[in-house]
Amino acid sequence: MMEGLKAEPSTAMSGSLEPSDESKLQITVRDGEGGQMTFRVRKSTKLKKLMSNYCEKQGVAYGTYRFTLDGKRINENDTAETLQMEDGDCIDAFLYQQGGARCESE
Amino acid sequence: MKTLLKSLKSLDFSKTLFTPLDEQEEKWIEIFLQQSSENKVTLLSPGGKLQIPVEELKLLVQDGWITDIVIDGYLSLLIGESDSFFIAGNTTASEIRDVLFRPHIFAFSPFFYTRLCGSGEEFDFAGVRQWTVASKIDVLQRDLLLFPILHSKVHWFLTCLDLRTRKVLFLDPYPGRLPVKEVCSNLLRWLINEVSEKYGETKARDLEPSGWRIVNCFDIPSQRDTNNCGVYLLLFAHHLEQGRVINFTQEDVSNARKRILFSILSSKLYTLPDDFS
Repeated sequence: MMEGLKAEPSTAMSGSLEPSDESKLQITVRDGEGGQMTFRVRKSTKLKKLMSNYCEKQGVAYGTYRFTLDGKRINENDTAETLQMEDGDCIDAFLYQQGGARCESE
Repeated sequence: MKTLLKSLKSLDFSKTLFTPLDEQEEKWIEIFLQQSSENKVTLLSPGGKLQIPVEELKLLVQDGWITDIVIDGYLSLLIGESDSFFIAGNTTASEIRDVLFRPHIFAFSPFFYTRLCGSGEEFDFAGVRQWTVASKIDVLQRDLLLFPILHSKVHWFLTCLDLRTRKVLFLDPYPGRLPVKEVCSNLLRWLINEVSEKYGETKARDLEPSGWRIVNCFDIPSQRDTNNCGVYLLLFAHHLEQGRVINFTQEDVSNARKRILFSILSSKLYTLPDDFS
């Protein structure tokens, strides 16, 4: 968390990937609790794939997390290319937020 | 969905946000509720396209709890309205901005505060450093900065930095129970960090937190139910954007829910009723 923007890839995940494939970008998804997951993404692949993969790995329904790049929401049809993402960029994953109740706690 | 969106083109946006729906409008709500929840609606806003799941929009007219993306969607329409008033060719507005009651606003996503302060964790300016850059927001060029925040995973409230008067406005639909000071001082701390980094130390010193006053607004409508705080938040924001006295009733809230849906489906805002009508 503290190191902020340029998170290191988690070693467990990066071991199985081919470093020679230069058309793929390494993208880190971090949640609000200090956890992070690294993906290798083809520039032209829709980011819906990454987002649904992430939810699947977290064991939650698609849509449970909202994904942003520098605060801007990522749409399903966006790609790393259309968002001008670079190798090593970070995406934030936030649990969806929903409210309505009065707040009774102090 | 396409057929519905087409017929919604005949909606009359000169009505107020609180006008009760006529028969035809109620019928469109019925038809909307029959649409597949799997669908998504694309909202066009100055920040780009926002795809909102129909499932979450249905919550608006089913008296449900409001989600982050619906908040973002409606706030982005307000930003667009504000931008077009102050920027798009309205030089008079920019010139006499200091004597207008109407502020030039920007609203952040609910995730901004989440990212900044985490789940009760430490203050993380680095986590949001790029957000204003990516949205091309020059905070000193805005009058009001709005921050929707979800408390304890159940309750929406609105906080607002007024750069004209140096007030932090705290607008809670159910006032009295939130950590007002903590939230306000976190936002001020962020502002000083932001200004210091992007405009330099001198400008930042100008904004010393001690020069700010926290105003906890009690004199605004408050919810008596257990599901409407998100709608209250949107109504507070809409009134602030228009520079209007915040005044509405519980009955207005249920009409507003449906009209907020129409606004999002059409990317257009309704007017607010005159203050003295």
